[in-house]
Amino acid sequence: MRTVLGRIAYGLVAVVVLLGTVSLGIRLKTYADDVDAAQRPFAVQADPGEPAYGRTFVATALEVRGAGAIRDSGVDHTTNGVWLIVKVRLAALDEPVGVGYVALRDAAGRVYLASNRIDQPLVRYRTLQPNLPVVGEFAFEVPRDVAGSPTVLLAESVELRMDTMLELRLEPLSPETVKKWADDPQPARLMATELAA
Amino acid sequence: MNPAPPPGYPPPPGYPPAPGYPPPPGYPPPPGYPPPAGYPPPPAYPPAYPPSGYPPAPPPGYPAPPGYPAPPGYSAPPGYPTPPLPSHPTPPPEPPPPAAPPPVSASPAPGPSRGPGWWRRNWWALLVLPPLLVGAVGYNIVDGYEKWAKLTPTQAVSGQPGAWVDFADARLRLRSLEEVDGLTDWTGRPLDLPPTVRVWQAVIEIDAPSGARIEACDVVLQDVTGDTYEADPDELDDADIEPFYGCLRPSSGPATGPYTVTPSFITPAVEVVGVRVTLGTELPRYAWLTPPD
Repeated sequence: MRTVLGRIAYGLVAVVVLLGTVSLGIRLKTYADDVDAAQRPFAVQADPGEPAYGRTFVATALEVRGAGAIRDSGVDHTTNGVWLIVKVRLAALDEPVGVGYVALRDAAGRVYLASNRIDQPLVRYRTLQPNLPVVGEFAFEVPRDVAGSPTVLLAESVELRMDTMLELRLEPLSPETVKKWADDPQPARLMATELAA
Repeated sequence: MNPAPPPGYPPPPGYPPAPGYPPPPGYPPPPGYPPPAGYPPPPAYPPAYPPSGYPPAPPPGYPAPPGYPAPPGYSAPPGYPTPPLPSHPTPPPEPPPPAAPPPVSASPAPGPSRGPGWWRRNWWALLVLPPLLVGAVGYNIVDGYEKWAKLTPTQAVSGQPGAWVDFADARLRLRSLEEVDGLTDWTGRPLDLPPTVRVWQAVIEIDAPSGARIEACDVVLQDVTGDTYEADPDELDDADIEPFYGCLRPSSGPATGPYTVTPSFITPAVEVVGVRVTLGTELPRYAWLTPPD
């Protein structure tokens, strides 16, 4: 009889401890955790020229070029840094979708959004149709010390939580190449977004 | 004088010669066979014990204890202890021969009882775990599913092909769904589209009062695989086609009564089956319109 009572008491104590642990964990998660970090997007990485499949669209980094200025609507947009222009191929998977988040992460981990100094129709305003890939360019205004291996980050929405984020690795950039682009006085133009053949 | 060898002598290799017969010339004695008298002893087998190195030699310069060595014939008088021998280390005892492994089929001997297993000791915790898990995350799952279900067109309202469908505050039907060739831009030049792209136009007839909620509808085209395509895509911005403003009554159409809207779509080389008409306030219901046969 004593043993049975002891076992029951042991079980009750264990249940209380378990419930307390779960409650504590929930409270810690609610008050002490960074929700953005806890619900960060799922990264899908791809090498240059390789497609990255996200939840709703697929993207491929085709090439990268640079310039010291970009001409848009007849205006030259110069920079103290350098313009990186990344050519990509995009397609929706099974329903119309837009690419709402476009950024570039350099080798040091710094993240730069696609520039809003110029008109970038492929960012936010272009709707991709399923299995009809389009080819276009994104432009990023970055410091000159961006040399290294930058990565283009793409997501359907600026609300990144718990969604897939495509991470397209670019070919490594040497400091000499970046300097040559930055010092080039000829302004670059973004290509028109077009359906891929 | 040895008797004459029997027929079949010498014995085949491996057989010992018959007792009393000398081994044939050149016949090597089998290992361990005792040589007859007069034979030189076989090459000395190393003794199994003590092993090589035993007993160890006394260390050089080790002085003999007093009184040693004892003279021949000397024996200690009674009552006197025998002086110890020079302290050579005693060889270790011979290790016992390894025990023969137990037969494979033999069942192991029953060991001491270890008590109930982990599953039996923790059955109550395992029993409590599923309800706790549901209590901890179940609400979020159910809540998330309900939100998703409310915002996703999953309940089709449909009718016969080409027939009227009651949806929201209107009636709708799909008059036609056809592929369009030879599109031009606003200047009359052929529209530049890849040859793999197909252009479709749907004619949707809507019967709704002026200012009806249905005017804020969205329309998508669906193919046989379930993929959907947006109406009025960016690729047709320059095409000389009828503009599409959702289900809004066109200004060029009748002021009252039924009117038509003409959304255009592009698709890859696929077969299309119908159009979906959705209204945010009606979700998850949507109108599923198929063309007349």
